[in-house]
Amino acid sequence: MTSALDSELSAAFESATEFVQPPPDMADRVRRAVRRRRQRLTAGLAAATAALVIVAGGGLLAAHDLHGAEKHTRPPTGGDHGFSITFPDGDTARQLATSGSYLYALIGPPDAEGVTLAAYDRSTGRLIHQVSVPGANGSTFAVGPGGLVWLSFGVGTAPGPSGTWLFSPDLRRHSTGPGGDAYALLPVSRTTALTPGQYGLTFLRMPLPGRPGRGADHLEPGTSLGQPRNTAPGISAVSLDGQIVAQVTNGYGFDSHLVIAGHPRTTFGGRAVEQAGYIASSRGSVWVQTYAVHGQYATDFGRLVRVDSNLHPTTPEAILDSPVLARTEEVWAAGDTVFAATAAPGHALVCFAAGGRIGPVTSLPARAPVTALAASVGTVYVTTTPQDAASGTVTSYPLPAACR
Amino acid sequence: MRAADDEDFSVFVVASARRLLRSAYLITGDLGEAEDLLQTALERAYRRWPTIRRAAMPEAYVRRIVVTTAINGSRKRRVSSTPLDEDLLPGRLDAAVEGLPGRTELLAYVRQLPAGQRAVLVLRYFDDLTEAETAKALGCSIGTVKSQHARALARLRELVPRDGSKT
Repeated sequence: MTSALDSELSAAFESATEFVQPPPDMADRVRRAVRRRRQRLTAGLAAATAALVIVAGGGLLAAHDLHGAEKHTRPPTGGDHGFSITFPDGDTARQLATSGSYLYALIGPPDAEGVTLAAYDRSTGRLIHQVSVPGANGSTFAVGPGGLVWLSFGVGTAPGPSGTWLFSPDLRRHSTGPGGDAYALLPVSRTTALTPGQYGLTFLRMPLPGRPGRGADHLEPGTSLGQPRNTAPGISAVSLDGQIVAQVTNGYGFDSHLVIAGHPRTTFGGRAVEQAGYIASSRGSVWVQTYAVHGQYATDFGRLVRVDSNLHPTTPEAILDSPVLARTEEVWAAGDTVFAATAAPGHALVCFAAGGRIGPVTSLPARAPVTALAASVGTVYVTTTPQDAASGTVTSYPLPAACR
Repeated sequence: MRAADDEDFSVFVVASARRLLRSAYLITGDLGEAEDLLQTALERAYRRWPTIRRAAMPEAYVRRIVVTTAINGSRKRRVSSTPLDEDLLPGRLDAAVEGLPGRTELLAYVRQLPAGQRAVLVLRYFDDLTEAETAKALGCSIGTVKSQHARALARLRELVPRDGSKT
């Protein structure tokens, strides 16, 4: 009977799947998804670093117990530059942020399932508390006023749970609200935040962590980001001089430009030679990693550009002339310091002061590729996920004096 | 990624996507879920494409992600979700073989097997993998493949009516 069953199984499998055809544009779908996911990794980072300015100097928070310590990560190791946290095989920190005494990391495999939000002691790298994120097909978080941590989960169109959680700084208490389609979170107050979307900015109001009730949201009138049919939900956004600057695309990642919410005609980028990639705000300006599109291919790097609150280019010559920054892959900012991951050999991560005087461009000893970054006063935390490594590592470095 | 690598990735997808999707569909029983699985696996492959391409193992790499994710997903659903009435769902496996009652019935029996056993059958009888290749795809030992295979066939022999009417 087994041999008859063998042949019948083969025939049944064959005939049952004859009609199955993959989408004709599968390869392009994959490219677009990878690009958009990479962009989402930093969504909220800018918000977190902006919030950093608010919460820095707030002093150490109360001591916390160590429930779950070292459950998810290997013990931190010390070194000349501080500490390193190495994640289990296949995992990496997809997003980092600092606030008060905490270093926060969104941990998981580079693509989708099994994401955890963890809080570490930012001076020692010791795990303090972690929570599993449901429906984690894309998640983003941001630290807001009061050190409260906003998390949007279930981002995208995949089935599964979605929503927003607002955590206490130690991640032990939370409240729940709607959402889940936010690629960027911009906390406004302890209980309110804005999220860019296809039809403009959504205003989200949440109960304080641990309080009863459920959050609510509404579309904020007069905050259009452009024609909805041509505009994908905001992938990243920053606040700038009381306005929200959002990065939007036409849904294919190949018309990526910046727009001021409520002023959809005020834009930067989107042309083939100057697509707007990652963005970060610092001192009344937005720093933009640009890239080019050639046919159906997009470059992974491009020059670093600064725009003002009207989205007019104001890039200093020292930055435009830098051969290292001409190969910028990603940008972050904290206070007066701008960080850039680059494709320039030997310069995986550089920083420069962007307050009064610009530069010089200084390299940090990080190994490529740098995939996430957060900074506090005097220290920078960097995630690297080398291709030959089984998992990602977060390492802390002292901030070079030249970059302050 | 260099343009040559990118082009090579497109060639790989055109050559392999259909077979991988059919395997995923047989394991999951749901075409939408199978497409999601395949796209996720291809995204992971795309990020490491230069390395995977050099190692000359892209299809095995993607297949392993698809199969193990499908099995893990099935285990999670078994714990947390309510079984759905498959007859009411368009695009489900049984609907695809309308007009072939014997095979429909056999596939329905296959669907009753645990995901790991189902995957072994798909890899062995649809993908024509050897026991060693199947073990590699599942990330387990050859002995585990042998035992899963034997259990799956034994279970099917129990389920299939003995009067021979299945064909």
